[in-house]
Amino acid sequence: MMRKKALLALLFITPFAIFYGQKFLLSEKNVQLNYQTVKEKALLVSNEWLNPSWGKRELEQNCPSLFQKMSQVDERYLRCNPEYLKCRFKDTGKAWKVDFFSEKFPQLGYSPVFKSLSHNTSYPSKGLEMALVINDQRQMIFLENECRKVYLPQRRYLYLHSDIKEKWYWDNFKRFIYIDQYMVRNQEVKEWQIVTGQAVQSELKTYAPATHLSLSEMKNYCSFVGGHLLQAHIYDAAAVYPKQPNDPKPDSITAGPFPWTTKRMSEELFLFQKNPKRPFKIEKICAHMNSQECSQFHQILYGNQAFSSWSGMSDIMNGVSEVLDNPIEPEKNVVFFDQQLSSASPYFQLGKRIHWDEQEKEERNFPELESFPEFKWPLPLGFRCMYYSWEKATP
Amino acid sequence: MKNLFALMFLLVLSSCLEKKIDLKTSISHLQNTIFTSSSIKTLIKEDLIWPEVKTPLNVKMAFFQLDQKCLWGLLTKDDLTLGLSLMKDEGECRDHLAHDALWLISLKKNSAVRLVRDQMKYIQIKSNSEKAIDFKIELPSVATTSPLAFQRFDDGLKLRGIPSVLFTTDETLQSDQFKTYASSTAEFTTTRLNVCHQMNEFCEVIHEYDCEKCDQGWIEVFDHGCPGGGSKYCAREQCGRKNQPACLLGIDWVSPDIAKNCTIEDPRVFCSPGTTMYCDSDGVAICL
Repeated sequence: MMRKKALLALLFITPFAIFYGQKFLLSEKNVQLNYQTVKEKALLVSNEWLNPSWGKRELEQNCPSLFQKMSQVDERYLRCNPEYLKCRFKDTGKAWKVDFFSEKFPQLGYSPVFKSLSHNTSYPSKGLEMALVINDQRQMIFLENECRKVYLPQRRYLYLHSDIKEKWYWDNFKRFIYIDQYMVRNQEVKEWQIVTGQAVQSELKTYAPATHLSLSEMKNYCSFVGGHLLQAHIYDAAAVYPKQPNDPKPDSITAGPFPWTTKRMSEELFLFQKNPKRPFKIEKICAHMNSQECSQFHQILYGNQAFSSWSGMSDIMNGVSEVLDNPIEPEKNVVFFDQQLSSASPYFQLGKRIHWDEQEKEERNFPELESFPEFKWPLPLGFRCMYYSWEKATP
Repeated sequence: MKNLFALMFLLVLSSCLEKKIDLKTSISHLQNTIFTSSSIKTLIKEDLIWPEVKTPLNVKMAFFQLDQKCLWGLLTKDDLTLGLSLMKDEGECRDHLAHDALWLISLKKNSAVRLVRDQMKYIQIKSNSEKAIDFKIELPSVATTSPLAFQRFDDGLKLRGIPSVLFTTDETLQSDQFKTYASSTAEFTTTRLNVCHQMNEFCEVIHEYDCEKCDQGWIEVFDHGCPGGGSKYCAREQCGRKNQPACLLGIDWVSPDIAKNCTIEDPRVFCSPGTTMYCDSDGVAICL
């Protein structure tokens, strides 16, 4: 009787075991996460990463601390911004949420990823690590930080040599060069310093250009994100407005003195710089630059679209000088567009670079700047990186 | 007792019906493999409805490389099989088809797999019979990829299903297949750097492009004047400086009569003041 009961029990249990055993074996993590649901959520996150639906007005209502940090930076800087994404997805409801791994780097509250740190090609050169949590299942994703680079079109270019008689032409045909749209920001430097265990300089404005690094630190940062310190001739190519933008091989290449024009002699600012006594409406020019006189017209706004060049490179005459790697004239390694300068200064022209001895940033380290005793030192020096890409030649 | 046996019969039957889910699960595996791949390389030359009349029997045919996995098809006398094999080391998919499959999808002989290559739209599995399986698996489409994400940093083969998003699994993160090369800051002339793309003087590729493996960027040098550009190394850009490669001036300024390979004082490159341009023993333009 007992044996019969046991057999019956076994017979009864077996189908369940087969049924649920098979189900268990089939229910691997990947299979259970519904493809369409994950894709839908990933698209939502991707859209907000690349094209934020909120502007500063929504930030003020929903994320006051981020709004505060963004006060001196253009709204475009919300793109590919981890802090914005965290704010945007803080309340997604119960069905799903985004885990930003905030415990990994508490000083940041999110987890930036870098290929150079992981030594793993699956990682993006620079990005953000996060997990989509849907019905207690997790799908890890990386968001690539691709928003803040501009492509340098393939064409003939002119390097603005300090000797204006020297016409220094070059081209980048069959080469794919990308440039940081903005100068590198304090927040980006902070991420690098934290993930690599370096000391972090506090009390810096989060989204202002990073101006406190040494030359070797700037180069190390650019390497870390898979690039190189921007070279001077590539800066000129991205900044100088081409006379014939639609012709990649123009017969002659000339350069205007400012990013917004191809003209020289009919440009009001140029004539004003030649003769500062000449009547000049400064407010007009302040729409394109930050100089000493412009502070009365507007507050500094880094990344301002109005200060962008033809290529989309921003932060050009934004009041912060910029360090370049100059293989053509190594001594001319700083673009001197400081907001302490008057608009009348001839340094507020493309190609008017100065020498920095690459040591400290005091007056004595800039041999050409002996006549600037009224300046506040050390001089803030920003920088940006450039990146190479490659595509197989089409036959 | 009769009811009990009836219940048991139903349960046994329902567990047998799970075999149908097997196929769905395999499809789901394929879907997830595609979905979580960071790179997809198409290995077919044109759109394909497989098998074709000329498809040989008992020969595995590689369709796609999904990261380090190969998706292949096999036509036998009785049925069609789609399989996914793991690539165990470097090389092409075709070298890894003999490995055991991670999973297989067995299809009836009258099924067809439609592979649309041009826009990488989908893999469609169809059958002519009434109770046909008809699965359509979306592949990451160029149309949904932002142009910048498609161009930058990648080798032209990587596509993203969703712009800027890379799906990862523990498997992809732990594999040794994905290790990077160190980028050097040393002198080019005295150090053997990691090469990530190299051509010989006949412009034959002797190291396929894999500069995305450089962990801290790469540089291009001028060497043999090949149409696809010069060789590339994982290194920091210090061109023009002493003991470093010469900087590229471009290709548009030289007469078509110029020798293809590096020549002394080559007009396609330049060095910084105080250094002189030479061609080293590998034919690379350097500054000394």
